[in-house]
Formats: sequence, C-alpha cells, structure tokens
Amino acid sequence: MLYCVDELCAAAHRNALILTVNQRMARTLLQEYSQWQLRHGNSVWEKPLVFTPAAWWQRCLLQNVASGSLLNHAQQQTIWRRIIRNDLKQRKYALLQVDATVKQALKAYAGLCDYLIDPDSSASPYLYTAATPEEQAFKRWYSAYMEYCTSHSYMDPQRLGTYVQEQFSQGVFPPPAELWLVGFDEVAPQLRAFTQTLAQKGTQIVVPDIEHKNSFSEVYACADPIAELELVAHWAYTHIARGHSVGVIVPELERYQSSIERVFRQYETTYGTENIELNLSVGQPLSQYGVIQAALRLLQVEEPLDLDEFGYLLRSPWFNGGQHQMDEHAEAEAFLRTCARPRANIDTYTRLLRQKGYFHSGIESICATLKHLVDIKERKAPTTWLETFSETLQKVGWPGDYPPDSQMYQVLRAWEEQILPLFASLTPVEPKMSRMEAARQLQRLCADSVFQAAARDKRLHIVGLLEGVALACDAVWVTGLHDQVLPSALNYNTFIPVAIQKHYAMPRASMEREMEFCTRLLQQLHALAPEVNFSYARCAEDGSVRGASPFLPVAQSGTEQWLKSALQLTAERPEVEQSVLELIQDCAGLPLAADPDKIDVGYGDERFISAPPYAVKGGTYLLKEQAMCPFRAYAHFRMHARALEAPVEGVDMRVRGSLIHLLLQHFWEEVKTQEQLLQLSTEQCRLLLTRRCQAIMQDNKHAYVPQNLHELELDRLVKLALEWLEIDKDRPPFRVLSVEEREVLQVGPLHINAIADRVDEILPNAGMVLLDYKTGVVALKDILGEHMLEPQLPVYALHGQHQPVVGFAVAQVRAGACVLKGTCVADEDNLPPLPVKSMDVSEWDAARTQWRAQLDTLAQDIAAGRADVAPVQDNVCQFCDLSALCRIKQQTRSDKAEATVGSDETDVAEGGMQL
Amino acid sequence: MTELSDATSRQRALDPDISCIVRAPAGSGKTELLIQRFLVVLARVQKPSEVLAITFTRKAAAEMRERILGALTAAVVPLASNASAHQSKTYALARAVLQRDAELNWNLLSAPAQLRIQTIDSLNAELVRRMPWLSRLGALPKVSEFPQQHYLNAVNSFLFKLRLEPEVSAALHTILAHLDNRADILAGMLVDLLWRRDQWMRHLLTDPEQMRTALEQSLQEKVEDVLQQAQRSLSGATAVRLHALATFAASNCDNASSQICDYTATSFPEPIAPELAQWQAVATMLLTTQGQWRKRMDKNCGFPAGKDPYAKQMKTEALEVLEELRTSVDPVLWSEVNLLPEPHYGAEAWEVLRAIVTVLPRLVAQLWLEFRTSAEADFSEIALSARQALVDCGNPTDLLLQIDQQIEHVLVDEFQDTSWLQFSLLETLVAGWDQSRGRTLFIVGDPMQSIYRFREAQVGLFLRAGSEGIGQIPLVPLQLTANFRSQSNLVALANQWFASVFPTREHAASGAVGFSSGVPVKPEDGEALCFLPMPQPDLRSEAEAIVNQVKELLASNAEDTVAILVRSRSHLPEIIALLQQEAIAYQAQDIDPLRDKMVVQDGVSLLKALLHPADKLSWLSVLRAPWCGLSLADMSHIARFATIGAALASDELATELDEGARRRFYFVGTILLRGQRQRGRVSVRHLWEECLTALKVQGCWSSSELENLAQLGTVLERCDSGGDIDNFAHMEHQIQLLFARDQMYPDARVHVMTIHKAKGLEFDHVILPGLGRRARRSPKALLRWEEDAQLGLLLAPLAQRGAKDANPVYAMLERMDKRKEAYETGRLLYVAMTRARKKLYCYAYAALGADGKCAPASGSLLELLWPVCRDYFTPEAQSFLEIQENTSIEKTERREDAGVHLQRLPLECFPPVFPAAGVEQEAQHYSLEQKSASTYRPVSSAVQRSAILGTVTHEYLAFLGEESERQKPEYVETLRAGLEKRFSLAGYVSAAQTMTQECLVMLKNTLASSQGRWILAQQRARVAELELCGLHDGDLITGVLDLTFVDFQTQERWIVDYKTAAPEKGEALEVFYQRQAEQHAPQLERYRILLQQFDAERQCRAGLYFPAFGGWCEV
Ligand code: SF4
Repeated sequence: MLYCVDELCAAAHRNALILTVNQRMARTLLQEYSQWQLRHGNSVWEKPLVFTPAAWWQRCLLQNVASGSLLNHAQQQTIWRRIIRNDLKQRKYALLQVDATVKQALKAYAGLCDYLIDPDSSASPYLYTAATPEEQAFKRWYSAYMEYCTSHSYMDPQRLGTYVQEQFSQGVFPPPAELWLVGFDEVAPQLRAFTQTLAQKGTQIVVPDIEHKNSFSEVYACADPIAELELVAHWAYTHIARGHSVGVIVPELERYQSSIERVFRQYETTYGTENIELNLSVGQPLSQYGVIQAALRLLQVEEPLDLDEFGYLLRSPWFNGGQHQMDEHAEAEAFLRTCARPRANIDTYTRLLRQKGYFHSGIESICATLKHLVDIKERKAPTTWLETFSETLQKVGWPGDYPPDSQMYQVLRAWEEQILPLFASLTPVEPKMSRMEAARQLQRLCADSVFQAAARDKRLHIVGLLEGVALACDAVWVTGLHDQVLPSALNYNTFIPVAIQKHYAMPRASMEREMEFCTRLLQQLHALAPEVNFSYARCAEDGSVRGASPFLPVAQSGTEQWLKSALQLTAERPEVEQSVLELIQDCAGLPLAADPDKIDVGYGDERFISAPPYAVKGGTYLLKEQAMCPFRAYAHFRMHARALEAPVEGVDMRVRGSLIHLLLQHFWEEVKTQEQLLQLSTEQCRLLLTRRCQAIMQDNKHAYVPQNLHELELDRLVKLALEWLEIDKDRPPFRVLSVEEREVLQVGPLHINAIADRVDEILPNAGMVLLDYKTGVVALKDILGEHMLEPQLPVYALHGQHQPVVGFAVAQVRAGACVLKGTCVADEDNLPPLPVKSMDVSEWDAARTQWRAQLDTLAQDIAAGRADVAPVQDNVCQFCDLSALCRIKQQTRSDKAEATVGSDETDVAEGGMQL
Repeated sequence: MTELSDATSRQRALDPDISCIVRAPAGSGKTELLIQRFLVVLARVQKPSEVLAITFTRKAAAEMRERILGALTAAVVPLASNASAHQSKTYALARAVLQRDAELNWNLLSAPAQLRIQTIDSLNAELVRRMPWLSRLGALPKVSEFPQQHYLNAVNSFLFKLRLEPEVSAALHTILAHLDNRADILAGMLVDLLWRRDQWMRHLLTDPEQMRTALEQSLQEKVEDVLQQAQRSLSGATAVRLHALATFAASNCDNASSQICDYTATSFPEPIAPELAQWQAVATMLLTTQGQWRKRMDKNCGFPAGKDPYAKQMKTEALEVLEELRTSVDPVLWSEVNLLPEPHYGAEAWEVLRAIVTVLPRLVAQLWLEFRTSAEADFSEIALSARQALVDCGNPTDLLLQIDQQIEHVLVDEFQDTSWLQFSLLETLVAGWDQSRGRTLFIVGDPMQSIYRFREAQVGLFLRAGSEGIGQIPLVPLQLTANFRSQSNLVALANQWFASVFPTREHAASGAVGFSSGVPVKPEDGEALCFLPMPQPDLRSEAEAIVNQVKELLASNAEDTVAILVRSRSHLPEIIALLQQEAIAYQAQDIDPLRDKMVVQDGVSLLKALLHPADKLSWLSVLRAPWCGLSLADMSHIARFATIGAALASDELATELDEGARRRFYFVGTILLRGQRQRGRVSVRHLWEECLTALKVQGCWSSSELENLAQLGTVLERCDSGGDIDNFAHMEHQIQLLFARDQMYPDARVHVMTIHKAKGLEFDHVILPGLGRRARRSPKALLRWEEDAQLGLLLAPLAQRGAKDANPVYAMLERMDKRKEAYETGRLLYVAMTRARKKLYCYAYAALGADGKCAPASGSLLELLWPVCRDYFTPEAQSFLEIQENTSIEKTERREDAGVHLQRLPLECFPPVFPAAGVEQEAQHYSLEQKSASTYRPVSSAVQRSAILGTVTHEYLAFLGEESERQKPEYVETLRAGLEKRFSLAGYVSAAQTMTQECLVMLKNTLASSQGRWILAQQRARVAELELCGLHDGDLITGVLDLTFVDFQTQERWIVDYKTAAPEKGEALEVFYQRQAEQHAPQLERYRILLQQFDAERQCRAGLYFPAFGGWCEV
C-alpha cells in the first residue's frame, strides 16, 4: 500500500470522506479497512466513506432526489451521435466511424469539463479559438449538446462536480469534517474547485503522504515481452509459494492480456504448481462472451442470411437443443453446406432442412424465431423492443439447455442488470428504432461494457499502470517499462485546440508535464511494497529494438542469484519427453468380405454380401479414385470421410457441369441423329436449346443457380452447347443410341453402377462409340496412360451392353476448347469412327486386354481394402480433401515447386510501408 | 587515411541548407549518413518533433532511433581517442544537438519519444488520428490484420446481396458474360483490384465516355512513341531503301493474307498512328515470327527466288539491309512495332472496359461500408484518407502547425521503394513550403535495390524526384560510391557483372535504372566467386552440394556468417530438410510454411472436430493422429457413425474393437466429446490448448514442432467469435499465411531467407541456389493499367474467357510490365549479391539444348547473368559433372512404400480399458454437474419495471424520512414532476405517469398509515441506507439496511426493510405476510446479526414495511 494504512483507516473510522483516484484504490482501501477493523477486534463496522469523486457526487445527487435529471453514458452517446449525424447530414459530409467519433468527442467533452473550460463562453480567461475543421466541428456539437441539455434540464456526470459544489456552497449539504484525497497524482480543476469550496465551508482537506518504504528493487532487461512475462510468472509463483501476495503491473495490459493468461497457465501446467486464480484487472467486452454473442447475432439477423451466420446460430450451444442435440444440429449445418447456396432466405433454409428431415424441435424454433424477427417491420421504443427481444430469446431457448456455470451466470447477470436497463433508458433520447437499429444498439452497449468475472483469490493481482498505485501487496513487479511507454509521446485531443490544451496543461499535452508525471509515478511505484522490481523487453514482438525507460533507476540486467536460476529454469523447462512413437504398418483397411457396413455398400436388397461380386457404391468413380490413390478411394467410399463443404459464390462448378450434361442429354433425346442435327439451322438449334435449357433451369431440384445469374448462365449454356454441336456435326454420321443410361456392370469381383453419358452408333452399322462429357481440361494420358485415370470409358467399352465398341472419347465441353480426346479402332480403308487418333485392330485388341487387366487389379484392390497412401502423380493431391487423414505431408516432401515472384512474397517486410 | 571517393557528396549531404536526393548503393554506409543528417538538422530546430524521419519498416525506425540515442548518449562523455573519422564526425554532430537540447530544455535523453522517426504507415495513422473530420474516417480505425476478408465481403455483397442500380447491374452482367459467367473468378479479380485500389482509383472517377477519348489519345501517343523510336533507329538512307523493298515485297508476296501486302505507302511512312499498318508491313517483312531479324528472304516475305534480275537485286539488297539492321538495331523494338495495337478500343473491348469502369467506383463505395461495419480498415484506406485530408485542408503547412505537427525537415529512407501514394503524400506534405525558411527534404535510397514492385514500389519515382524534385522542392542529386562492406574483389566482380545486367539508359517510365559502380574501401580477400553449374535440374543434389559447402565454411572459420538466399521460398524445402538432417543450426524466418506441417494439420483437425461435431473427416483425422493412432481397420468400424458422440454411445462398437483400439478410442473420444460440450464456454484457443494437453500432445511431437503448433493460437484468437468460429475458411486462410518460426538457434551462423528479406543485411558468405529456376507467372488481372508521366494513362480489359487471343492493348501492357519485371529481376540479383562481405557462391542449372549448348531458362536469374557466366556452361568447362563426387551426405531414399507407416503413441500411454458404458456416465455426470449449478431465468420486463419502481420509492422514502416537513401529502405532490422525469429517463417514457402515480400512492399511503408514520417519524439513531460490514460465520459480509432506528417508547432497535410487493388478487393478508416473511427472513436475519454486534446494548427487532398498501409484518 502506497500510504500509511493506520493513518487512512483511522480517518475513515472518524467518518472522514475519502476520495480516491480510481475505483481500484477505493476497493483496496475498503479491504484494508476491513482488515484494520478486524485487527482492532471489531466484528462489525459501518462502511466508511470511500469513493471516487464521480461516485461520491452521484451519491450526493441521489440524496437530494435530484438524480432524475442525470444522463447516463449510453444516453449521452446517443445524443451526441444524433447531433453528429445531423451535422453531417446538413453538411452533406460522411464519416466512416461515427461511433468512434462520438467516443472521441465525449472524451474531449469530459476533458473540457474537468478543466472547467467552456468553449462557448467568452468569459474564459484564455481565448478558445477553434481553428481546424475538427475543432470547429466539435464546437458545433458541443453547443448543440449544451442546448439540448439545457432545454431538457439534463445534468451529466462530467459536470456533476461543479453542480454538487454549488449545492455545497448553498448549504444544501452539510460539509464533511475531513476530506482526504488519496492517490491523486494531480487534481484537475473541477475537483480542485470542489475541494476549495469545501475548505471554505470548514472542511479540512488532507492529502496524505506516501509512505516511503526502504524497498528492495531490481531492474531486469528481458529479451522480449514473452520472456519478460515468463520471468515474472516464475517470480510471482516463487513468492506465492512463500505465502506472499503479489502484484504485477503491466502498462499495456489489454494488449498482453491473452499472453499473460497463457504464460501463467502454461507455468502452472509445466511446473505443476498450485492453480492460482489470476486477478486480472482487464476483462473482455460482454459481446465477446459466447452466450451474449449468440443472442446478439440472433437479434441482428438479416436476409439474405449468410450460411456461415446461419450455421453459427444453428450450431450454437446457447439455443434449444444446442447441447442436447448437438450432433443433429451440426449435421443439419453440414447438410446445408452441400446445397450450394452461400446465402439464402430463412424460408429457403427451412424448406431445405424440412425436406431432408433435419427439422428437429430446436432447429425448428431457431428457424421460426429468425423468421419472426426478420418479419418485424415496425419501429418501436427501446422498452418495447426489450420485451420483444426477451420473448424471442426465451422462445428460442436462450441461454441453452444446461444451466449456466458460475462465470456465465455472472455474465448473464451483467447483461440483465447493466445492459438491459441501459438499453431501456435510451427510450427518452431515441424513442423509435427499427429492429436492426435496436439490435445494433444492444450490440454496441455490450461491446462497450467490459466484463470481468470476479476472482476470489487475492494472492495475485495483475493490473495496468494507472491502477498499479492502488495495489496493496507484499511484492510488486512492474513490467514493460521501455522508452516508448515512459514517458510516452504527446497525444493531444484532436477536438480541442492545441493551444488550449497546452495552456491548461491538460494530460499528455506537454512534455514537462509528462516528465513530472513519470518522476512522480516512479516514486509511487517504489513505495508500493517492500520489494518492487522493474523490467522491460529489449525487443518488441516484431523484433524492433527499444531501450529502457530513462526513468528507471539504473537499467541493468539483474544479477541476483535467484534470477539466474530463474532464467535457467525458463530456459530448461522440464520438457515433457517426446515419447518414443511406435511405427506400424497400416496400408489396408477391411476387405469388403469383412466390412460390417454392408448396408451402405449394397444397392440391392442384400444386407449382407460376404462373397463376390460385391455391389459397391460410387460407380466408376470408385475405380478412378482407386487408380489415383488407393487411400483416397478407401477413405471416401468405405469410411465416408469427406471435408465439410463450403458453398462457393456464383454458380457451383459441379452445377455448371451437370447443367451442360442435362442440356445435351435433353437435346439428343429430341434430335437423335447427326442427320437431324445437320438439318437444323443454327437458329433452330439455339431455339431448341434455349427452350430445353429454360425447362432444366426452372426445375430447381437439378441444380441451384442464383437468381441474378440465371439469364447469364442460360446464355452461357446455350452458347457452349452450340459450340459443342459443331464438333458433333463434323464427325462421321451417327445416331444416338442412348443418353445417360444406367447399367450394373461386373468388373473383377465388383458390381459397379455405371452411367454412360452417351452411346452413339456409327452409321451405317459401324459399331458403337462412347462419349463422356467433361467440362474441365482432360489430358489424353489420363485416359489412355498406364494409370487409367478415366476408367469409366474402358469399363463401359469392355463390359457395357452396347457392343461392339469401336471407340471412346472424353468430350471436353469447354468454352473455346471443345474437343474430343480418346481413341478408336479403324482399319486403313475406313474413316475412323471418331476424329481422334486411331489404332489398328491388333493394337485395339491388345489395348482391350490391358484395360481388362488394369481394371481387374483395381477391382481386386478395392475388394481387398487396399488403402496405400500412394498418389499416382503429384497433382492428384492438389484437389483432394483428405491430406489431414492420410498424413501424406508426413511421408514426403513435394519435389516440384516453381519459383514465384511477387504475390508469394507479399509478406516480406513487416508492416512498414505495406499498403 | 585516404580521402573517400565520394567525400564531396557525403559532405554536401550534411549541408543543412540544401535539399538533396542521395543514391546510396549497397554497403555505402547509408544509415550512418542518415543519422548524421538527422543530427545536423536536429541541432537547428526549435522542437525535436520538427524533424521527421520516415523509414521503410518499424524495425528500421526502432533501429535508427536506437542509434541516434546511442550517439547522443555517447556524446555526453569525451570521445575515445581511437575513434574513426566518421565516429568523430557523428560525435561532433551529437554534441551540437546536446547543446541545443540544453539551450531549449528538450530533455531528449529523458524523453526520447520526442524524436519523430516512423514508418509512412504510422505517419499516416497519426495524421488520420489528428484529423478525424478532414480524413473522413471519424477516428483512426483499427488496421485490419487480414484485409482480404473485407475485400471479399465487399465483393460478395456487391455481387450477390445488393440491389444495384440498373446501370451498374447491366455493367456487371457484361463483365460476367465476358468471363464465361464465372462469378468466382470475377470475385477473385475484384478482390485483387480492391487490394490495389490506391493505384487505379484516382483514374476512374470520371465519366466513362470522357475517359475513352483521353485513353485513346494516350494509346495513340504510345503507338506513335514506339513508331518514333523505330524511325530513329533507321538512318534516312535505310528508310528510303526499305520503302523500295517493301513496295516490291508487297506486290510479290506469295502469301496474300500476310501483312506485307498491306504496304501501299508512296514514301516511307511517317511515325503516326494512321500509318501503323505500313510500319507493320515493313516490320513483318524484316522479322521472323520469333521476332528476330530474318536471315533468309523467300517468296513468303515477298522475295521470290527466280531468275528475274530485278527480283534478284531486290533480294540481295534486302539481305544487305537486314545485315545492317542486325548489327545496329535491337529487333525487340521492331517486333514491338509489329505487335502494336490499333490506337483505339474495339467495340467489345470498350464495352467491357466501360462496364469495369462503371462497376469499380461503386465497389469501392461498398468497401467503405464494409470498413464501417467492421470498424477496421486497411493501410491503403488510411493512407488515402491521410492524403485526402491534407489535400482538402488547402494548406497543409499551416494545418500541421495548428495541430502541433509542424515539420521543418523531412528525411526519407529507402525511397527507391516508394509507391505513388507515398510519393504523393510527401508531395502534399511539402506543398506550400517556402524555401527561404530553411526547410529541407533529404531523400536516400538506392534505385539499384528497388525490389518491391509487387507492393507498388515504383522506382521511376526515385528517378523522377532526382530530375524534377518533389513538389516545388528541387533536390540536389548526390551519388555515393564507396563500398565499406565487401572485399575489393567482390566489388570488382559486381562492377563487372552488373554493368551488363543493368540497362544502359535510365528511363523513369519503364523503371530502367542504370548501374553505378562501387569503389572498394576494404582490401582484397581472396577469391570472390565460386560458380557451380549443376549437371541436373535435380533439387536434391543441388541441396547436397550447398549443404556440403555450408559445412565446409562453418568448419573453416569460427565466426563467419553464411546466408542462403533464394528468390522464392519454394526453392528451400530440400535445403532445409538437409540442414535439419545434418543437424546444422540455422536461422530462418518466414520460410517454412506451417500449413504443410502435419502437426499443424492435426491441430486444425482437432479444432474443427471440437467445434463441429459433424465434421467427420476432422474427427477421423484426430483418431488417426499420433495421440490416438487407430488403424484403418479399426477406423472403418468407427466410421459408420456420423459423429464421435454416436460412436462413443454404441455398445456394439465396443465389441468390435480389440483391447488396444478400445483403449485408444475411448480415451481420445471422451476428450473430444467433453471438449465439444465445453464449446462456447471458454475461448477457442483455451479449449483447443486444453484438449491438446489432455491428448498428451507433448509426447507426440518434438519441441520445435510444438512451437509450430502453438503459433496457431494467435489465429484462433483472431477468429474467435464467442468461443466458436463462424467461418472455418477464413481461419484456414489465415493459417496459410503462417510460417515456422525457427527460434531454436538464435545464435546460428547460417541464415536462410528470401532475397527480399535479406535487404539491409550483410553476411560473410552468400550462397545463391537455384539461379537457373524460372519464376511463376502471376494470374491474369481483370484490368491492366500503366501510367506514364508523359503519355498518360493506358488501360485495358482482359480478353474474353475462352478467347484465343489477348486484347492487343492488354497484351502490350503485359509486355511493358514484363520489361519492368525483367529490370527488377536484375536488381534483385544485385541485392542478393551485394549482401556478401567475402565471397559469393552461385548454383545454377542450364538445360542442354538440342544444339548441344546449354541455355538458361527464360525468366531465370541465370538468364540475366548469361552474358557473364555462359563460359561456365561450355562443354569444355563441364568439369562440373564431377562436382558431387565426394559428397558426404547419405542419400535418404524416398520411401517407396510411402504411407504404410503410422506413427503413434505406444499403448502404455493410454489408460487401461475404458468401458464403453463409462462414457455415458461421464456424459450424465457432466449434465448433472451442470444442473446442480445455479439456475438462470431471464428476468421479465415486468420484474424490471417493478425493480425500478422499488428503487425509486426507497430513495423517496429515505428522502421523506430526513425531515418532518416533507411528510405531508401536499409536499409529496410537489415531487411529481421530478419523479416523472426520473422514470422517463430510466426509459419508461410512456409509463412514467403511471409509475409516478404508483410511487406517489405508496408515499401517500405511508403518510396515511399509522405504521408508515411511525417509521417516518423522527426517531433516535435513525439511519437510512446504513451500510454495515462485518464477520458472519467467518466470512466478511456487507448489508445495506433500508432503515434502522431506536423506538422512543420501547427503546428497542428496529430494522425496517421496504418491500413494494402487494398481495396477489384474492390472497389473504396473512398468507401474503407469511410468504414475504419466509422469503426475506434470511436477509433480515443477517442484518440483525450485524446490527446486534454494532449496537450490543439493545434488543433488535426487524420488520417488513409494504408502502403499496401500508402493510407491516414483523419477522
Ligand atoms: S491427399 Fe493425396 S495421398 Fe492423401 S488421400 Fe488425397 S490423393 Fe491420396
């Protein structure tokens, strides 16, 4: 404690009024006072008069039942926001962040009030001239605000001191006998005037002296902020183990909050020390707590609703079923991801979920609630919204299936006791709001209100610099005292003329003042406890160097014995030994014969098939994946492991593919032969395609195309189909035998469901050719190479019902790159049945034998459950979702990689001039 | 001591009366000069903050500050006797500053924050912070760490959410159709454009049709500029001969569709756009399709073989002219003529361009809204706003004075990497400076080291500033030449190499920077170069050679540092792997991408499994990771369940797994399930870290891998929204940007980094691997632009998707860009090479061509060096084939059976059989534990209303109790207005009257009832709102007593608590009292205990008073 405890407590006991520089100091004093009373053998005592000035003034006001006119900060912000908005509207000007402007302006306002400066008054001793546009704007807002307050006779907390001072001077209140000012580094004019009035009325004003302790003190230079925290953690736990209470002061507390939590938590786990509740004097905005955020997001729902947002709500544990039916909710969300819609209206989501049977009660209530919310169109008063909102939240089962734990309980209490009344109190200043405005306003209030769960452990306090002086601990460590913090650079309030700020020596407006401040602060810090250490980090996180604050006694590395051991300790922390991992061979899963998951495998009625041929799902795609990478086929088709989908913007590539498939299918169902095609003029073709395409696209079930892209997509499809048909026109005469025909084919020990996109008969009677549409670029070596990466064509060629097959090809249907790629058989006399490179009969037969063997091996491997992680070429991994499961990255390093310039290097220099 | 070669320049640079621009090549002691200049001007100003130094990075700023403070601190004591010349110079300057400091009472050493040394970003930020109104930002927004997200959000809203004006929407359709309706591609391109909006925005804010004229005008000028260059390349005589030849060829050309036939000119064409076709005919005649001067002439180019003597003569003449051209004219220029676009846009191109120009401003507006919602912005926004603010205020100099940001001297470092926006900010800052006041600009940089083009650095601006000054400030150009860094042989080598690598003529618009050679200060120190041509493109063997070299270097000297510098970090995996394998300590920053690390993938899988129970792939991956390590067969059993919860709950499953698998599965599964249920209650990072610990992650990975894993934490923190993650894709995007931090060996002598990172550093030995590798193409942009100070703006849209040919204007801009790129590549090489103090090691591969000669890959660094290093690749010099003979590194075979090995913790690490039933118990236990916690019930608004009413009534009762005059109904009535205001300010505006009425009724009831009067009557020791603290059962408790007093008659002490409740409809009074008494008894009991100790003499009684109806009951 900075002061002599006995002296202060005796004064408090005499009923002296004690005003403290901040809340924390008041709390510390009250605690010390309790101890003092207990030490004096009392078991009950009256709470002493210990307050911050603001709290005391407010209390005075309450006693005079005049508090009826006191605005709270939310009301003030709302008024200022409106004033600034009006000003902007009048000037046809825009500001990016009005809310932030409001906060800055209010800070300026508070500064002016503290220093008793009235920009509007010509009576000021020093002329207030607003020169810059900022200063002028502020002055306008200030006047408007004052006018508003006067006309409504509102009082605000910033001017309260002056008001109460008048009351005292008029004798409304009896002056206290003693007034103690505790912890004030300096007294701003408003408070000074107040104390002067009291002094005139006979109050004795006391400013207690700092109790200088002959403290032990060291200064440590650490490598970087994290090393610094680790050192402090070590020191703190050492002290606590000796039964001391410990205070740690961190100047940039908010910035390091999470690092502090982590370093201390890690320390506990690493060294197995006793768990100590951190008394961290910084919290998180209420809006960041899960339970509050879920509520706020729900209330701010907007259509069209992004799937990410909807999914967040759906998975939220804070609504009906979020815990009890956690899995079901997650599955519903995963399903929606497959619907190719990055956003939709709530009705659509509801419909999709209902159709697929994902409509559990919790989900239903979430959908209904969202719908209800978006349908509210009226503007209402905050108090009315409050009712609507709490009903809504109740309906959706907020805050969840399980009762809250203690922290959450405190959070909910804060929501209820602070946020909601504040929100209600906006009614007089903002009588009508839309739902969105109301919800945003709530959001704002929650974001501005920092919540910090009460910690009961009093052994370890971590506070910011200004609160530091309020510590009462056995040992204190002040961290982060580098030369940018103490003293810090000047920082004027942009809304108040610099000249004014300098003239009145407002905070951070003059170097002299800052230097004095630092000197005093250092004195105070030294007097905090018998042991006070200081430290700074020589490097910031980004590696930039900085020195010790010039105000530190002698900046040096600590040499004391324990520090050495501490440094050693942090350097050689007891590493949890890396266990010797075992290495096992595991390149096959269950053979089909032993698969318990028969239901999923079969397509017929058989539930159990333990002998070949096994019916498998996946069609020829299974073979293809087996060929690309056995593990991939196994994981996809046997374990059903797939990454969660993420709908893409625009038209999904798969949708584009299936649309063109459908269009060509429909077209050939109608046109049937090349001859017919040739008879059609381009215009007729286009008409036909357009008609067909419209029909296909209207039927939403095939594929979803966002409304605004409908027309474009239709044009595109027709154009592409026309481009493709040019290729068909150039081929030898054919008739289309079948389109999209399904067939079950046996390949080795497997029964496979195959679909041939198209089977054409070459006329006259010259055999069949198979076509497989692809919208991507296909390499010929994938079709005919050793790896058989497009097995669907050979499978059909060998096993399909339409025989003899004399050729097959991938039909690459792609704008600007329509082409056939494949092979066929032809003797020298005849034209090849397909415009691709042909083989002669013997080659063809040899090829067939080879295909058969390849397919057989693949099918055998599948039946045996072979699952080697063996991508057949590097690029197959590029479009595979399984790398986390197959652990390919652990196996090899990718060999190829081209040099990149630019984009790859965008993060070269940190921050800096980066734009 | 000898005079430095550039002593005069250095001296002038310290003249505080002139503004200058200094070219300071690598190793020329630039920082020292900058510091000296800073000290010089600092000693002349009124306040330290009047000197502004702008550095490229925060780190550089910190370093400069450190050095200046160091110089000042050192100047407090006498100078050491053995100080060097520049040390004494600095000392003298620092002394002058200290003197100034003392005179003007600055206290710089105690308040170093007064020094203004900052990056341009922080300057911008400061300006915006000081000018919230002028900058239109309202306040300084948070700088987004991941602005791509905002661009994407803006683009998505724009494309898919908004109802756009018909004009914009039609334009959008045009663009989409142009891109084959690939909205995803368009979105990507728009994001890219938003990222670079600082470059084009200023061009696009006019009416499209007006723009067209201007654009086509500059296009025409560009065309004519090239034609003029072509014309200049010919002598008059040659032109005449060419005219004759072209005329002949046009009429004899065999190929009717050849451009040659277009030649119809009557004399050699003028270099004007309408004559373009004529020029191109000539060019086609002269050049092969590859753009080389023809070696032969045939009928295809208009010179048929045959006996005709005239034709023969023409042909001979043609070959003569060609021979002449070959020796004197660069064919690149003429092929450019051939490729020149028509000086106007085609209808389709214009339609698209117009559409783009219509769409973009609207999109930028959308980005603004996006920034507004997120209260974040990117650096560009802040920079643009800062500049705008200064421009808008009209007179920046005065304005800055007003806001106490007055600047007298500006020093800018690394000016070669300045962007247009930064340049223009600087221009604005100095606008209105009058020179007589002694304000100066001091610009330093090295155009030869400009390598940040991809970040909009425009080296041309440096050249321009050198010739034209900045704003109205003329700059004295100064050149430094002394090289303090490298040994003399190395400097000589650089002089030799780069004289041929750099262009001979400087040209600001195309970013061509000339070379200026260095003069070594250091003596010779052995060989400067070791050039190793590689026999194969194989990365592995190159890595082996390099690592061997590193080993040798480390062994031969105990102090020398070695740096391996690459153009792209994708060159490094093999080298890093080998360094690790050989246990060579190295430092590497931002080299090794984390996304490729298995440990990181496991971490991500765990996270997703925790947050999304239906993410089956992720929870299966968790079961496969080393902390669990289930076999595929076991996993197949588990995989038939959709979620881990369902699998854990299945009895059947337990019987299907063997003992080992059970132990693994139930241990890990339970941790996962428990974590899933914790979701939202703690931060994501916390949840994740806790699960990792529970999974014994420390046992599975080495500490450096764990360090890598820990890095995910920051991303999780950033993406945390209420203990969950709302967009996994964003999170993974951010993870993509992370790199391993190799902090294991901070003292290592080997450094591995990209050349970009190495800028500003120096090492004894520099190794450059992979010089022969080519660079990757960057993706096509929707729009290309090029701004030329003379010619104006050139703009072109991307060609239709699927179309064969690029838009010709676009193609031209692409070529221009490529040229700039090539210049920059040369500079990159310069930066790389000049990092070395002693020796340079180059590794390069050049493929053997069909002609038996090696040739460098195009776009590779080797290509640039080819003229000076081709000799290493001649067959005679192919001794390099044996280079690798004596490698000592064991080759680790790439495992053939990749994928068969599964690494996992041994079974002992898992607790013995965890019965399946236990899981359910666990789950139940969990929910029970939860149930027993305090229950929460949201408070209804009715309850809130009565709470307010209660509070206010309490206050007023206390107020009435203070003086007996107040206890009259008439007086109470005077309180009405105040009450109404009170209620309405609490939000109950419409209910204020009713509530007031209710409150007044209560007050009046109190006055009317006998109990009420008794309570209000002046009593002894009456205290309202008494706050007591004290011990109760060993706990410290506090209580606020509504009222306590001592009764006159009975001398008993009373505690009274006011309750605004009233009996419910039909409730008997006794029942009500009973209920209330029960409810409040514990509270009153506590008060009584406290008070009893406080006032031990008296009997203490307690009661509840109900003002609503004047009721009273004793408790
Ligand atoms: S990522 Fe590559 S190795 Fe792994 S399953 Fe996919 S294709 Fe096979």
